[in-house]
Amino acid sequence: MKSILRIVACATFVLAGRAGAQVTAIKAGRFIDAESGTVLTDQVILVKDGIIQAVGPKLAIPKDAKVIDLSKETVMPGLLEMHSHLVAPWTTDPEPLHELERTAAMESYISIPNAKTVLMEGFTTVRDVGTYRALIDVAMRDAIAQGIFPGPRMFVAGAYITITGGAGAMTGTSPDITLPWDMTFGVANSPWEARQKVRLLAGQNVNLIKILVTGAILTHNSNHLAREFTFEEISAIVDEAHNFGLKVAAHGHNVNGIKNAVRAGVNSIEHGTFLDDEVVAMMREKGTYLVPTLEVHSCIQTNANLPKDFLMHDSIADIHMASFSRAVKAGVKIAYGTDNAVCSFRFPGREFELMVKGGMTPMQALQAATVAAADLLGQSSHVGSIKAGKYADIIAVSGDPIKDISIMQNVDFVMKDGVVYKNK
Amino acid sequence: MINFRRRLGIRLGVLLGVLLGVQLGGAQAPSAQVTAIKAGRLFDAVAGTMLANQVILVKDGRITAVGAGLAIPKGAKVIDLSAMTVLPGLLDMHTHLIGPPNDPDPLHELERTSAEEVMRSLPNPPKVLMAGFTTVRDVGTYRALTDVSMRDAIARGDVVGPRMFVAGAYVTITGGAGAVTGFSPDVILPWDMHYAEANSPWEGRQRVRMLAGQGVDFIKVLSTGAVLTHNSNANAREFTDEELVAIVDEAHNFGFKVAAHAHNAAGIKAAVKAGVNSIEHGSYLDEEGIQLMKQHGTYLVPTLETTECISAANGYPADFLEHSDRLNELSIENFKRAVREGVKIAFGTDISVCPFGTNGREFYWMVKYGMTPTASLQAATVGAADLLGQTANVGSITQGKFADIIAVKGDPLADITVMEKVQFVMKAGVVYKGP
Repeated sequence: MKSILRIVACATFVLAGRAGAQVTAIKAGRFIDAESGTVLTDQVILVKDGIIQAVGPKLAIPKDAKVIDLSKETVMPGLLEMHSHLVAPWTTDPEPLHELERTAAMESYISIPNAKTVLMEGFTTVRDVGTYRALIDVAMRDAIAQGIFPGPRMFVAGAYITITGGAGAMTGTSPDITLPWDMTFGVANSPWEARQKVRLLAGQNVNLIKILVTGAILTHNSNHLAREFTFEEISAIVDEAHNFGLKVAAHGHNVNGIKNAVRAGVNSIEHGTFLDDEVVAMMREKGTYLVPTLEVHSCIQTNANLPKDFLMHDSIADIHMASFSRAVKAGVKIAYGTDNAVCSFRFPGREFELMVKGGMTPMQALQAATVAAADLLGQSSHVGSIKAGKYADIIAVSGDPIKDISIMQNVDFVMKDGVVYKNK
Repeated sequence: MINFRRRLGIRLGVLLGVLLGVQLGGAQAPSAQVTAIKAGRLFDAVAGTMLANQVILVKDGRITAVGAGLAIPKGAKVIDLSAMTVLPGLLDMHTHLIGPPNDPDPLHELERTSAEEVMRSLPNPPKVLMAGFTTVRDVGTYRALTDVSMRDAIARGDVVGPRMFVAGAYVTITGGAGAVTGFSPDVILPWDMHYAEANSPWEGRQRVRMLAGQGVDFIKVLSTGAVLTHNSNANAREFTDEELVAIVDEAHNFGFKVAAHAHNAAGIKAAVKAGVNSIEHGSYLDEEGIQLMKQHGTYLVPTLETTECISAANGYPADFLEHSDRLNELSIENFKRAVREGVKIAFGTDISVCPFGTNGREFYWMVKYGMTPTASLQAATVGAADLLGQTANVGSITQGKFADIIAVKGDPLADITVMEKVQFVMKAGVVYKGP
C-alpha cells in the first residue's frame, strides 16, 4: 500500500484541457511506429475528444491547442497487458485460501488501487484473465469506463472455466466446505456443463473466455504436468465462446494440454511453459498467439509469503525460456503478458528484457505489447498504434528503448483517451 | 466497448480527474510537522460560543493546543483562516454511504453484485467529507458488511472519506423496514440481503453476536415500518417489546450503542423503554414519548432534509411518495415540540435520500423549525460525539482530539446557510480542501 501511495505522490496529475473541443498537440522527439516497426523522429500528434486526429512530421498546430512537449522523449502507443489479474492482493498475499477471509466487497476495495498502479506504468489497456470471486472484474471494468476511478481500459473474463479442483478453482479446503457461488461460477465437468458456463458468462457481459487446460503452479494440489479438460470439453467451450463472438485464452503449462487447446481452436496459449516442435508448428499454422509471462519465476522464488508447495512447483524457469525461444524462432505470434499481480505491479517492464533475451528484437517486443496484443484482443481499430482514428492512448519514456529495452521500466508520460494521467 | 459510455467516461474522468488523484490513495500518514491554523472566528462547540482570533496547533493528526495569541513554532506550516469562521469537523449521524447515488428504488439492488455496489458507491464518501463532515455514523446498507469494508478502506487511506462508524446490517423483522421487499415471496435473496433479519428475542441476540463478530461499531434496529420500503407501513410497530429488549441487552453487552429507526409513537416508545440510545426520524413523537426520551437520555436524530428530496423528479417510486406526504406536516410539529421541551438532538441527514454533499442543508431546517444556530451546530459536533461515544476524539477543537477542522466564510450564527458551503476541510491533520 505505502509504495502505491508514493507513486501517487510522485506522479503529477496534469489534465490536457477539457476532453472536448480543445485540441492537444504532442511533440514527439522519437516516435515508435508500431505498425511498420520503425522509429521516426520529430512527429506531431493531434488529439481531440480522446481520439487521435492526425500524426505526422511538421503538422500545423492549431492556435489554441494545448501543447505537450515530449521532444526529448520516445513516444509510443499505450501498452497492452494481455495477462492481467487486477482483482488480487497477490503481491502481499499469494495464499489463495486467504480469499476465504474476505467478502467480495473487501476484495473489491483492495483491488481498486491496482488499476491505477498499472495505468501509471504505461498499460492503458489490459486483458484481465481471472478473479477468484467471479464478476468483480466486470464491476471494475464498468466503474473505470464510467470514470469512477482511474485505470486501464479492461477486457475481462468474469470467471475461470476450470474442472473441479482445477487450476482455476479455489483448492486446498476440506471437501466438506461449501464455497460461495462466486468461487465456483465457472467450474464445469462435461462439454454441456461447459457450454452452459460460457452462456452464463456471455449473459454477464464478459469480453473473453478464460479456460485452464493444465494444472497450475500457484494452486494447491495442482499438477502442472497433468492436462485438465478433455479435447471434447475444450472444443465445446471454444465453439460456444466463438458463437458469442468471444475469444478464448487457455492457461497451459504442459504440452499435452496445450496441444488439445490449440487443436480445439483457442486464440491464445498463456504461459506455454513446455512447448515442443510439434505444438509450435501447430500454433504457427493456426495463428494461435503465445502470451509468455516469463517474468513470474523470479517473483515466485522470492516472495516471502509464498506457500511452500508453490515453490516446489516452480523449478521450470529455464524450460520456460527455452520454450519461448523455440516459439519465437518458429514464427509463433507473441502477445505481451506478465501475469501482472505476481511481479509486474512492483517491477513493471521486466518482461521486455526477458523477451529480448529469449530471441525477440526490442522492436518486436514492443510490437507484442502494442499491435500484436491489439490484434489478439480484436481491438486493432481502436488501440495498439498511434494512428488517426484510434483512441489517444499514448505513453513516453526517456532514452531509446530500442537501444536499451530496460528503459521500459520507467514510463514518464501516460495519456489514455486523451486525458493525461502522468507527466514527469 | 460502448461508445457513449466512453465519452461519458472521458468527461467524468476529466471532471473527477484532479479530485480522484487525491481521492484514491491520496491520504498521508499523520505528520510530525506542526501545522498552525489562524482562525478569525472559532466556534467553541463545548461552550456554545464564538471566539475571535484563535490559533490551533496540530501535530501527528491531533490538536496539541488552542488559544488566543499562541506562539507559533518555527518551521510550522501556517494555514491562514483569519477571514473565516473555523469549526470542528462535523458529524452526520445518519448516513447511507453504500448505494449508487440517484437510484432510490431498493429493487434495483437485485441487479447489482456487491462488487458493483462497492464500485458505484466510491464517489459518495469524498463528497460527504468535502461538505465538512469528517465523521459519519453509517446506519445501514442493503448488502451486509460492505460498509465495514468501506470504513476500513478509508482508514487505510485507499479511499478518501469521513471516519466511519458502521452498523453492518439492518436488524429487522421479515418484510420489515430494513428488508429488501417488493418481490414475489418465492424469490430467494442472497445471504447479504437478509443477514440480520430476526423474528424472536433469541434470533435477535444471535444477529447481534454475529455482527459483533464481524467488527461493526454499533447496532441499527428498526422498530416501525418505513417510508422508503415497499409494502411497509410507517404506522405499524415492528418487533415486540421482548425482542427489542433482547437486542438492546445483547448490544450493550458488547459495548455497542443502539440506533432505532422509528416513525410512529408506539414504536418510538417501545424502543426508548427498551433502552436504545437514539431514535432516528421520530416522526410521530408524542408528549409521552418526549418525556420518556428525556428520562432515558435518548437522542433524537431528526433527518429533516429528506422531505425536500423525496419527490417524483428524483425518481422515487409512487408508493414511497405516498408514504412521505402523510408524514411531513405532523413530523415538523413534533420536532418543534421536542426541541422546545429539551430532548437531546444529534444531527443526521439520511443522506443518500438527498444528494451526497448536501448534508449541510439539514442545518437550515433545524433552525427553521426552532433550534438556535448554536444548538444546531452543537447537535453536529459535541452532541453527536456524545451519542457516538467518541467525545474523547471528536466534536470540538480541544487539545488531544483529532485535528478534524473545517471553515466557512461568514458567520453561521447569523446565517446558518453558510454551512452549506464549507471552504476548508482538515481531517486528522490532513487538508482535503484548501482555503
